[in-house]
Amino acid sequence: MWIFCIQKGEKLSNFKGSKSWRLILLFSVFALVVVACGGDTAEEEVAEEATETTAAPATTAAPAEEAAPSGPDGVYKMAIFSDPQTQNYWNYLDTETDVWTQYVMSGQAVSLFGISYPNYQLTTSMAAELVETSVDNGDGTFTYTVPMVNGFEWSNGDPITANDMVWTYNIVNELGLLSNWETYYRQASSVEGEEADGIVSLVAVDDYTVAITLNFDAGLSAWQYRIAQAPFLNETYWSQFATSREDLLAADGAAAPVASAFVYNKVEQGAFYTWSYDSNTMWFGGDTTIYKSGTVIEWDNGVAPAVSQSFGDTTGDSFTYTSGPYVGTVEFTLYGDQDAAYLAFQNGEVDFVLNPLGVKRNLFDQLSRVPGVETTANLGNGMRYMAFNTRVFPGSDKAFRQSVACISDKEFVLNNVLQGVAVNMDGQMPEALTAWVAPVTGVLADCAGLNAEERWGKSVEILQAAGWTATDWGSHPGGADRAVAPTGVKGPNGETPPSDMLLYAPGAGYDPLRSTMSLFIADWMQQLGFDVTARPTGFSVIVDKVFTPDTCEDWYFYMLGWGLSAYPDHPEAFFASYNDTCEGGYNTPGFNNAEFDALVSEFNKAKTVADAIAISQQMEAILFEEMPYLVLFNVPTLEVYRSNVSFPFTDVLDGLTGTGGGYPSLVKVQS
Amino acid sequence: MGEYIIKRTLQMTVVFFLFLVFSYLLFNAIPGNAFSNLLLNPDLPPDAYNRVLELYGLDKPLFERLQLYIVNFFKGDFGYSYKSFPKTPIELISERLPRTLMLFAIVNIVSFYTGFFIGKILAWRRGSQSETWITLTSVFSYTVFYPWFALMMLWVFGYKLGWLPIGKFLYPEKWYDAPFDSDIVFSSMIKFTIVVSLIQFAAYLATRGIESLSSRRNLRFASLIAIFIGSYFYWNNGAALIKKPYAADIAYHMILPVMVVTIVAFAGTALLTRTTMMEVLKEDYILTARAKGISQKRIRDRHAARTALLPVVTSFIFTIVTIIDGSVLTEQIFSWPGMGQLLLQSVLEEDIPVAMACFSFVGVFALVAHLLADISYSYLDPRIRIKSQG
Repeated sequence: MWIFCIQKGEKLSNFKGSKSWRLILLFSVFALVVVACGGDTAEEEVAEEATETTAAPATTAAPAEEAAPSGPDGVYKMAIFSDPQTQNYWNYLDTETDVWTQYVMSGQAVSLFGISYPNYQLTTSMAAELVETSVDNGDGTFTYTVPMVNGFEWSNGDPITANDMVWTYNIVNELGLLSNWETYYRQASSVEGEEADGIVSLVAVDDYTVAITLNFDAGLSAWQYRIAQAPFLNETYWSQFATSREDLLAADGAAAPVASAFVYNKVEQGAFYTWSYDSNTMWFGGDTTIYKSGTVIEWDNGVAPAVSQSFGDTTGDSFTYTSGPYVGTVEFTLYGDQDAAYLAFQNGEVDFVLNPLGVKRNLFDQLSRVPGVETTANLGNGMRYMAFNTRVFPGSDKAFRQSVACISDKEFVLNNVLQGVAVNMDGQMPEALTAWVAPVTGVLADCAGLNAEERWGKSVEILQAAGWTATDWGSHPGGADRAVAPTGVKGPNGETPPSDMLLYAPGAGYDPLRSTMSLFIADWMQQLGFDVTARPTGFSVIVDKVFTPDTCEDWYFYMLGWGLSAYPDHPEAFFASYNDTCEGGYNTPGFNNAEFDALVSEFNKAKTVADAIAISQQMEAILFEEMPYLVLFNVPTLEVYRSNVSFPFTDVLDGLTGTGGGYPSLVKVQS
Repeated sequence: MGEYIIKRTLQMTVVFFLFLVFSYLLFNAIPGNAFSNLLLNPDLPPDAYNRVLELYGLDKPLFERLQLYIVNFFKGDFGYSYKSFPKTPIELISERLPRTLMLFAIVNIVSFYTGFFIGKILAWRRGSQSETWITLTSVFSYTVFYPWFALMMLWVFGYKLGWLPIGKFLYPEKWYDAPFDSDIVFSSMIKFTIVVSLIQFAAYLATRGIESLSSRRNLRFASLIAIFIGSYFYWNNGAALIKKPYAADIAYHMILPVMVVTIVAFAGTALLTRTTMMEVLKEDYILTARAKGISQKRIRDRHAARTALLPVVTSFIFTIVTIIDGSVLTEQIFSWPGMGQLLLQSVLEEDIPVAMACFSFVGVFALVAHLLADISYSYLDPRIRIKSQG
């Protein structure tokens, strides 16, 4: 062969100046390289040599091979759009709070209580029972004593005990961990003479009993949904790094013990992350039966402690699913561009795209027609709203707020202009939290179903009834035409509304829905004689302006949105007078209502969900009357997944991404 | 020349200082900060946000922060990343830079050679039908809306034809059991590329003086074959053998981004070469060369193209400067996690230490490249050298 080539080459060398021999030679070398690189034999040799010559670390092939006989097969592939900022759980909850970090974070932490989805039912996790009542110590402190299940273990074999929780609590305080750690383990402390509600002590009564003493009588939001869900981590592993905040946050989280069936396998920064099934895990199996407002957990896999508990109302229709994992590997692949990610999804390269905002409507429609693609649409656990600044005129006038609420035909914009891409929302509670949703009352109920002319007329009536005056109240020509706006409008005390009032809303590039809605609402306010202009504004600019105490009076109206938590206690944060933004809280409108504050106090002490719902609905009634927020709409979360994967449920408030990060422990993948 | 370099270096230092100050002020002019998202968590205790700002020094007045930053910068302390704490900006850059350099070094070399070659042909075949078509194609490439074009190429080659991957720089499943991470493979690939380029460049220099066109070409081609054979032995022996399948995976993923960026980038070089060479072809010495009966190829390659190379090389050096910031779109679309993505992400997240470090890197890179361009200009063009000396 070589002799032939040399002879051929010599022959060709006679053709100096011709390109032919060079092309043939180039092709020959290229063919040689292709054969060398592409042959099966070569790859096998490489693989063998790689295994022999490299000491396989814990995260490489060897453990996966060991796991194979007892572990499930298959790979569940998910796309993510941003690089997780850390694999260290301490760091994640400190200041690196980011959804992408959350999705990829392994199960390094556990808590006493948990939440079952899709019904958002409060359940136990490490606690042996759902302790809902505390003991009044008589000195202004209250102690919750929680027994923990004996027998659960971390992946390194350590038992999960009360000492882990106590150690976590102490480290949070000693090292001064920030942000979410402060939220969960909020300390009882004296700030400027006023004692803040928080934890007085957190101690282990024995290895499997933890006693938590608070300086206030906590209700659901503080106890069940915050402190009892505070994460705690394995003491043995993490204590070696707990010398300073920096050291702890810099520690390797990829090697941390977990309380789940998956451990980190390959961490390729900027490219992909994988979890692999831990063959020694006790975290598998178990049946969960879901009712509308209740959950039954039956867990007896022969390795972990047997659990059989029911929570909430376990009557009515139900369905049961058995927990996995059903896959041996979970892969998170990073895509810098959403279009590329969905193209890869369409191509079958990933099974599911983790996207907290969901797929855009047009892409969703397009993907729904692609063979092998399944779709699901769920309401988001959140709301978009417009806030009035009740500290400054005219937002300080209730009749003004009511008249704006009345003339704002949200349904018209959502259905006729935005083609039904969002769902109208009147109250503070997402529609899916059926029990919590209060009946719509007040001006929103009065103006529901009215046409444009009637709404305008009703709004003018509201203003007139409250003592507003105008030189000329204008008129409405009827139909879809604009009203002839009132002129010389003055408030009940003769104040003239300012000119050039701005309604800050995100621009069309950021959120076309709010942007469109803001244009309509500004126009409706103009039709009532108020000089309001919708101003598309950067998200950060709005946040900076409305959440900064120094500028709390420098705006009239803005539009933003809230993502809500599993327990809907947000009206307290948004409207209690002690949370006024001017004082550093989240009550941006500066709403101040004594009756509402009294209900907030009751709500904070509510021990049962039923009590909390009843109080919440009374609070809502006040908000419907006072209108510090005009709640606008809820945007459904649209998601797609390949038909080779199946989830035990797909109807869940906030979607599969928002509630379970794609449910890697429950998903089944057909090869 | 020494005096000239010293003078330019001093100028560069002043420019860089101003660049640092203005960049810092601009970043701080963006509303909010890296921790503004904490404001959106109503469960956060009232003082928690302020404590975070205090810890990262964001509660200090702007000019105090600027002063501190400048002093620390020149001490080599770039601080910690706000968003990837406790990683430092240097750690993040050193993780991302090799990926960008690998991709864009190839892109620049390929697009420069393609552009220069096509530009030469265009000027030489002036008035022909092929010139019209190639010019039209080049103008299309030069003016096409890049994100659209890149996505279309992804769609065609990745989705419709399935020939090439849809973004990323590797197939994760091939790396599950990799005994090293991709940065090690990138480093090997970069070293390999540098060595190969140096050999080829050495071969070019060594054969420059050979008068016979065919001998010169044959020798250069022989060096190319030697590189191929050397590469074959390199990748099939020793430590490189283990890295080979991983390097091949990365190389396979590079094909589409290299192709797309080359298609867009070559046109600038091609059109510039065409214009310059057409000017050169009008020169008297070209006419003289023709009158002497020198072959057309020789006139084109040795007389015209070499002179036309001068502005093209300068333009090439300036193009290299834009590797980092110009890579933002490419890296975003092709999910190539390099410096461009890091820069974009740090700016969007207001991670000022990382954004400043990236921009400083770009700034230094730009200033040094400009200096090199000035020096090479005076080296390549004797008239400039004489003027600066005289």
